[in-house]
Amino acid sequence: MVELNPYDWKLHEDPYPVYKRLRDEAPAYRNEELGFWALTRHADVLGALRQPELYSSRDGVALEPLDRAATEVSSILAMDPPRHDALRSIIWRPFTPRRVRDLEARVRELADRYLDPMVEQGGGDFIKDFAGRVPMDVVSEMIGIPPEDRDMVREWADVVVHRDELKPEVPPAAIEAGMKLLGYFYEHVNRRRGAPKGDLSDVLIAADVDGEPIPDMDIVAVHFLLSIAGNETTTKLLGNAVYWLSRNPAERKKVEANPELAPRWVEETLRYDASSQMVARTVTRDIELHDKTLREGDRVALFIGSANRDERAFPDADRYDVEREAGQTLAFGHGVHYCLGASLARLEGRICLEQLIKRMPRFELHDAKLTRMHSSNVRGFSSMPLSL
Amino acid sequence: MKVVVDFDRCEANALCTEEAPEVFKLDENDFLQVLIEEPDDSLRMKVEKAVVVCPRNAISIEES
Repeated sequence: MVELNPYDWKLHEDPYPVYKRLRDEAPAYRNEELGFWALTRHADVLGALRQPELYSSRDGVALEPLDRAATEVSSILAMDPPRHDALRSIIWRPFTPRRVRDLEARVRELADRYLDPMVEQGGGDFIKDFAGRVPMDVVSEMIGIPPEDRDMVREWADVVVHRDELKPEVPPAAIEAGMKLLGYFYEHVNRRRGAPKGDLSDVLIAADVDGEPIPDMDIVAVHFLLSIAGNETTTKLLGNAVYWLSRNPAERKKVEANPELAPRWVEETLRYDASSQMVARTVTRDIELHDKTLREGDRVALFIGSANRDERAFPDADRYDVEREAGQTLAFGHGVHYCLGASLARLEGRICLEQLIKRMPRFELHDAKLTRMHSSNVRGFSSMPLSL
Repeated sequence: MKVVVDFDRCEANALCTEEAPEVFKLDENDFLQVLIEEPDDSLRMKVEKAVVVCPRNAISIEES
């Protein structure tokens, strides 16, 4: 019997053979011990994402049991329409394709700023010195985190998503880091009242939903969400892109010969090794699926990472192909909760990778020193030393 | 066939404009324009593709 335990660090090394077995042998898989269902086929994951009334986000997107407070800080991730849509329409304003396009020059400037010392020194840690920094700066500029606080905020964000080996409960250090982030953003929002700077923080403070101002807790939660979502997943995307390119020399040659492939390199990395592997939902009424019955109130994990490797949706799905024709990747989800930052992540991905390949085309990874981060849904590296 | 866009949902991700540029276009303010509200059947495949790829599920087809 195939088994799936998202807290098993051995699984994190390579979850894809397990996903494949689940898709073929147990498309509606039940983990009795941890108390969740897992859907792994593209059609099923997409179907669930399209039906938020049946697969509710009310209990958040994490698999681990969260208390009410933790669910509340998940902001729009843990809301259903119509409240979700009302708040999202406000947060969305700086993320429109047009606003994102306007960031192109700034992102390139940031990418070069962090590549400069690596080029000078003949290398560095791709995650710590580059991939972790550019997205953090971009999101910080959106919500007004001053430069001197960014390392601290990023460190807290890293700790928040970490999970200990084989332990489904949120580690005390993650709770503590979460509390620090919350405290930090409460102060931030308070300071902003009466001293606006014109960024998203001020937009949220000034906005109203159905004629009521947005409660402080919800404004803080948006900051909490963006500080994590805005950097964790994009950082991992960049690391995964570099990792898989260096593992596939033929693909690497194509990108070196034609840096204009960068957008496709980004898309293929999103598909092949999604930074966000899974989102959880709660079933709102009994559902019959693949001869099983999911009961009202059951938790269901939607495995995006598996859906993107489903041979039913992508030909030759296990091949990393930087020239692949775009298929329907679910890396950013789908439907009402479709990743707000998708355009931004794609832009950051494209520009950072373009600059990397332009300025450090001969980069070599130090395989022995690669370090993976461990989480039940975020996938990627925490350290990736490379040399020129 | 009539193209219906839920503008409360549309976030101008522009995937539809790639699938069916004859029917969908973003204006200079990033608002989605439906160029042909009742396209003829020759565009059906493209519009159906747009319905499927819209990441926000904002597009539907009403049969006239």
